[in-house]
Amino acid sequence: MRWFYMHFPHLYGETWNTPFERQQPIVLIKEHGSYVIDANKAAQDKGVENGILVNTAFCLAPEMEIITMLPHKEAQALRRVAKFAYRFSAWVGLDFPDGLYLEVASMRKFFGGLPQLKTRIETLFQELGYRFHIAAAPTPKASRMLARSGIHVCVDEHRFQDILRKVPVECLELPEPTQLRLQKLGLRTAHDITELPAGDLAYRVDSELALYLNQALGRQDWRPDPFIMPEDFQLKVDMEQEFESLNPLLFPLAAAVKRFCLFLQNRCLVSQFLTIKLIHRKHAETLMPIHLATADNRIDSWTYMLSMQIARVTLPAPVTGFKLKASEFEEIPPSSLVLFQNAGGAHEDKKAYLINRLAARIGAEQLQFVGLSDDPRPEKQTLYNSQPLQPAHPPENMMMESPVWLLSSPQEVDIRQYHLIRGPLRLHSGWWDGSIASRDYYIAATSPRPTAAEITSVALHWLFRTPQNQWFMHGIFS
Amino acid sequence: MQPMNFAELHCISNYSFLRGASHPEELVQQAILEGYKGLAITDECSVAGVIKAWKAMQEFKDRNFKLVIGSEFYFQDECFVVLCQNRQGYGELCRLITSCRRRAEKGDYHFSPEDLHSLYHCLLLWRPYQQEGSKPPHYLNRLLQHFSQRFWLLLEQHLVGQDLTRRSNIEALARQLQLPVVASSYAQMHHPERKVLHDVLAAIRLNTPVHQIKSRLLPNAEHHLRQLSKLAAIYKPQYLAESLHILQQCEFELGELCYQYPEESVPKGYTAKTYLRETTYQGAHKRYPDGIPESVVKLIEKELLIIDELDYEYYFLTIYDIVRYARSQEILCQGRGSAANSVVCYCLGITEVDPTKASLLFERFISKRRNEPPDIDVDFENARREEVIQYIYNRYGRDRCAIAATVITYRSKSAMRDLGKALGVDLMQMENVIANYGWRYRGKNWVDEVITPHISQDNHILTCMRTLLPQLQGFPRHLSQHVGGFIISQGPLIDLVPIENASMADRTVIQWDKDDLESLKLMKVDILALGMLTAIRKSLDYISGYKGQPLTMADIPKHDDPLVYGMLQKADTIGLFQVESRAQMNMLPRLKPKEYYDLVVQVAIVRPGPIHGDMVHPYLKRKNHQEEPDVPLPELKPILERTFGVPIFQEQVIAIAMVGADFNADEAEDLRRSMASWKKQGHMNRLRRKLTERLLAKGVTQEYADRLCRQIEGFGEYGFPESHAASFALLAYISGWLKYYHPAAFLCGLLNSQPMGFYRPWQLVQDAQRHGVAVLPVDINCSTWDHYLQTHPDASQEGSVRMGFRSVKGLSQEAAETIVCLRPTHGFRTMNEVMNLPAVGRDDLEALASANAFQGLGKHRYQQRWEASAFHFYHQLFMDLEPPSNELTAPGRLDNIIEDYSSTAVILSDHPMAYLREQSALEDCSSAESLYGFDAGKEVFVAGVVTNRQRPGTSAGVTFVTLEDETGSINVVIWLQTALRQMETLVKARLLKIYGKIDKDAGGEVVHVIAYKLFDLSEQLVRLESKSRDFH
Repeated sequence: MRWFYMHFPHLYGETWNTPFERQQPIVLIKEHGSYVIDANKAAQDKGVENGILVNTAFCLAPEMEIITMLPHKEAQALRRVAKFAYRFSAWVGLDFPDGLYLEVASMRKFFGGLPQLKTRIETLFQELGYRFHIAAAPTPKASRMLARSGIHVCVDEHRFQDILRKVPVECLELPEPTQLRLQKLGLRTAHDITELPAGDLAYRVDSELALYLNQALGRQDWRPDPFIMPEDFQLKVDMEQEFESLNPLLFPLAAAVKRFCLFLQNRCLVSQFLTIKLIHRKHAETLMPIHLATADNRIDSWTYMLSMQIARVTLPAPVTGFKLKASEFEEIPPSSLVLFQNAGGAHEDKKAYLINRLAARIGAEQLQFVGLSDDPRPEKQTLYNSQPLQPAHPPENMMMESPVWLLSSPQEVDIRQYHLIRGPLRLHSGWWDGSIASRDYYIAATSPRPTAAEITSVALHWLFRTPQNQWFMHGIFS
Repeated sequence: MQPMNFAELHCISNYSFLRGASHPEELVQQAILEGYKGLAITDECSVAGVIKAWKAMQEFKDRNFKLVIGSEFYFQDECFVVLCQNRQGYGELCRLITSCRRRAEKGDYHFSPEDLHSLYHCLLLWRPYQQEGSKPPHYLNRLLQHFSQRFWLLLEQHLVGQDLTRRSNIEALARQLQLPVVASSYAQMHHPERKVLHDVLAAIRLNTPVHQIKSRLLPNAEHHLRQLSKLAAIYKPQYLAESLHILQQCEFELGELCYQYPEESVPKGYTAKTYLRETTYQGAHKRYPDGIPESVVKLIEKELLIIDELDYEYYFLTIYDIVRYARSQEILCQGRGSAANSVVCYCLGITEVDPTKASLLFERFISKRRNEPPDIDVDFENARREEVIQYIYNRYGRDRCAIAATVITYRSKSAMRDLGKALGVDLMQMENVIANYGWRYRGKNWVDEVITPHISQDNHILTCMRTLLPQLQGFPRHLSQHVGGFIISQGPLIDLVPIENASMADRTVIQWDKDDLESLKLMKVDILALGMLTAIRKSLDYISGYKGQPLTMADIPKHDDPLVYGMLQKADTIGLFQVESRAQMNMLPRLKPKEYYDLVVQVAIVRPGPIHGDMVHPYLKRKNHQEEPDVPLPELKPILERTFGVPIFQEQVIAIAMVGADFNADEAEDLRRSMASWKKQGHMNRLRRKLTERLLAKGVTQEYADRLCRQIEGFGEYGFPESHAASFALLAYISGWLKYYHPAAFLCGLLNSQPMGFYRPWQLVQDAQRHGVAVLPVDINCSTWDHYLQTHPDASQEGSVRMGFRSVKGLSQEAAETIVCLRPTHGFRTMNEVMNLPAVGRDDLEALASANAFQGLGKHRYQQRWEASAFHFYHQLFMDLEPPSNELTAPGRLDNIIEDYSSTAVILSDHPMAYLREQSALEDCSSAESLYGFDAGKEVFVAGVVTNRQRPGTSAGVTFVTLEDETGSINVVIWLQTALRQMETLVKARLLKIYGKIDKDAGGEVVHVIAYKLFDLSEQLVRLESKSRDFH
């Protein structure tokens, strides 16, 4: 009994749609799928089962909510439980999409025996709100076979054989054609299959199945690839003396931030967030988060940000030490890895540098990225966002003669004060969000009939007329 | 301002699929309304919409308005608009479109400007690609030479930012090349209100929601047929005037297209008229060997006269030619349709419906008064229709015949789906709403009923859907192939209409559909496929085989055989043509057909038309003498007498319109064609109002007129004319005769023609077994690929049916034929002999073992499969290895049932319900056959395998489920409340037990069980299965 296997039948729902067990029925489906992959209890109580058609499920629970499972979120959910399982085993293996292998023989002593270990695992995952089946067996695949058949046991080799007699073929989650071949030979339980010579089974039924059984029975060695915990950065520095002001602290803090940057650079990572906690003797820790506008790993970016941030902190008590912590990293975008970076790349770097400095000055929340939308309505063409926006294609028929200075809201004007110079350009669009714009745009001079003397003081305005014949000013030309 | 004139010469309709946002008719009407002098319909590489536009124009004949036929082509963002000057120009355009279309995949086209050199009688309008400093393209000079004096530059201004540059570019080019400029709006909709729909179409075309493709949408609605005053404000007068100059040069009118019938069908030395007369009388002599009755001669003469007057000889002779070919190849066929039921067609052998035997029948044949084209559809055996099609291609040549198109248009559901996608609503929820709505019986306000907050929480989206749905409905989506409508012409077809690729390899379709062909009075021959004809032909062959003398469809006694009708009256009709569905079976004991015409009514009455119009019950009451026949107006008596005053058929409804509501021939034709779109708004409302008003004026009750309108609405769903019902009824009778007198041959014919019909092979086999037919299992030493009749010791008797290898799932035909071919005379003695055969692979052997085909060779099917699975491994690849002996457990009774079903889809000697009954699991349940003995109202338990289950919808009110046990099938009715209470059991159970009340109708012949409570027995089967295994 060296391996545990944990099967989380509702992993996706329990990770991403908490609380999964609620009054409203929930059904999970794959992208573009028409079959139910998982359902919560409210849905099951109405008769929804895994594997039935979504249409049938609609008959049973018309009010149900349908959630489409996204592949990357599936993988993320499994890694999340793997992190917790890592507390109990140094060798955790992922079995996509919803199972974990845990090597436990080596941990037995540390936890005081397998039953104790099993109890602790169960307690933790129950507290976390997951439902699961757990089984232990001599080989990883054997424990998998048991847990996925819903049999919670800890068995040795001999008992494993016994139990296989009770496991129907349908519980082995075999592919449909293999299951059909077994049925057509009258083979019903896992035990029926293990009795057959492995070579014959491989040739006559399915080689994958034969391999699976061999590995489960220990005839062939197999171990899962070990799961590697994602790292995080933590650093604690104790000061030899107490600091009452921050300025002298800047040097050791900068040294620590430098170590953080080296940590990132060594791993080809960049980060946007770093938390610094200042430790006081009797007072609660002072939180000093550093937030970059764009992810970075250069020392000067971070130290500049640090110096800006320090200026904003008022100390409640003298500082005796500090802690640094960061756990959200991104991989460096592939373009930055080119050996000879082109000028464009350097330009990007400078931009990031500038943006980070700006953010440090005025606060990250004050900094917004400007983007262009493809909406034909002028007032909707400029977008503001806290994250950089993907460059959008400007509308093909965009008004070419629009002024740079656009009023935030159009002002009604008296057309008699104007002299129309050019137009109209007609806009009739935007019905999809309910605010349809139906306008004729004109360029107009502010004087009805400018004299030669006036001509220098005349301004050009961008006007539009509505179907109701009202006139508005929407912008001013330089 | 001076009144000015203009013609729009660049305009696309919705036949530029998902680009144009108006119907061709709407464009024509709007152009006339705006006072345009003319309009060119220039769909993209297509003339599919022109006939609709031309038809619409006919209504405004007296106006000074010209329709120009043309087409636009794109090449690297440059647009070329071709306009036909005359008939030759039109032919050239058709050839150009054809060649562009034939080069590309279905629905697409490949065009290059060089292609334009084939045009000598067309005008060219060119809109160059707009870019600063771009040079004129290299092909321009040659084009200018070729189109000297026929070349214009297109100026299209839409009040957008680029207008100025565009205009200056075009004007510069015009000066440089000395070319005239013509103004256009590039109309893509008839009215600016269609802008929203135009955006939605773009979204559908790009398969992305509207709010994600904003940059691809038009910024305003100026691409419409703009008012003349607006145009005058935008364009210089000479640019507008140029359009009239062009218009003058386009003289072609679609009415000029004259069609010539193919002349091959008339041998040398004859004219069409003499040949038709001669063949008709030759046929008549064969049909009436004892002398042609006087009445028939009269009819023939009358019909020949009408045919002569309408010039339809070639039409009849062409069909005669095709049918004669089919007969020579022993391909069974049968004509139907108004003209098909003429005596001439009977004499020519196009139909078997004997006009003298059904004399009370039709308002016969084509009437001159009705301006409709002759209608003959010919059904052929589905398996051999391709031979007939190939014959047509060979005889007339591929450039002279092609299949008509079917324009696939948006129906309510498809419109909802695509609208939903374009507006970005949750498609799952949408599908659910669609599935739950009772489409068939929807009312006038269906849009409001179906667009509910279930689809989206956003009220704005719902409002948009409500407006757009009726607009999008009826919009063409793409061209598809008509089921069998051939158009054959004397000259090359591509001078008449462009031909494009169909999705099927080697198939081409023309760009016009059935209605267009009718509008131009082109001949269309329908070559259709019918599975039942294959089954009948096969059955006849088997009977001929054991009787030793040939039997054909014509030999089947057509007199009204009371025994066959007796069987029909009992609804014993599984496997029969047309009258085998559950609804038909419920109707048969009520209608009690006693003669041929009853069967004609029977075929037509269980259809949405009569049901929707509430005509079924009055008909039944009057037929069964419970109510006096009554005709609303005396002049309608000849029309309605034969159906006791109740209109059943499409022809009757039209005749009522003509006689009762004084519709003229054109209006009646309009009504016939518009039945499919009766519910649509617009001019159909006019017809409807006219019909109702005139009937009321004559003293018909409002209630009767309403019912008539509802019936017409129902016909729209699935119109059924008497002329078709007559042919179908004959086939129904023939299939009934075969089933009654030769059940084994009939079963064999049906099984060898699968897939077809309403029932699965197992149900057909069970039914035949209940009628005393012995059915023998698949056997390695007896079976052939097809099912066949084994000879009976008494040679005049029908033998038993031997299941063929074709029923074995996973067995290849090649392997089966090898087995039959190499089978020793004494049969195979061991499995090894079979396994050593060439071309018999492992999959074949396994399939045979599982189907229990080796049962005569010892051991059980599991063991046989095990041995078969590695035979080649041990006996050929690794001869030295000894196969390990593994004794597998023998299958139990239930295992055999499951294996039989999963391997051959037929269980011959057992039934899961019989098994359960013996296991005492169904002690309280009554069998299907015992239900007939019970009184109505008795409460019973029944149980069976679920063979047919509707999807329970909340609006339908009732769900029908069919169960089957070892004695027959049980019809269960589940009311909405019961269904809602037990939804889970209802939708999931494979084996169902029902507690309910017996309901009887029609003198005890129709038995239903009205369910109170449902029990899922599926688990029962699993439990028994495991219990049975415990004993091993």
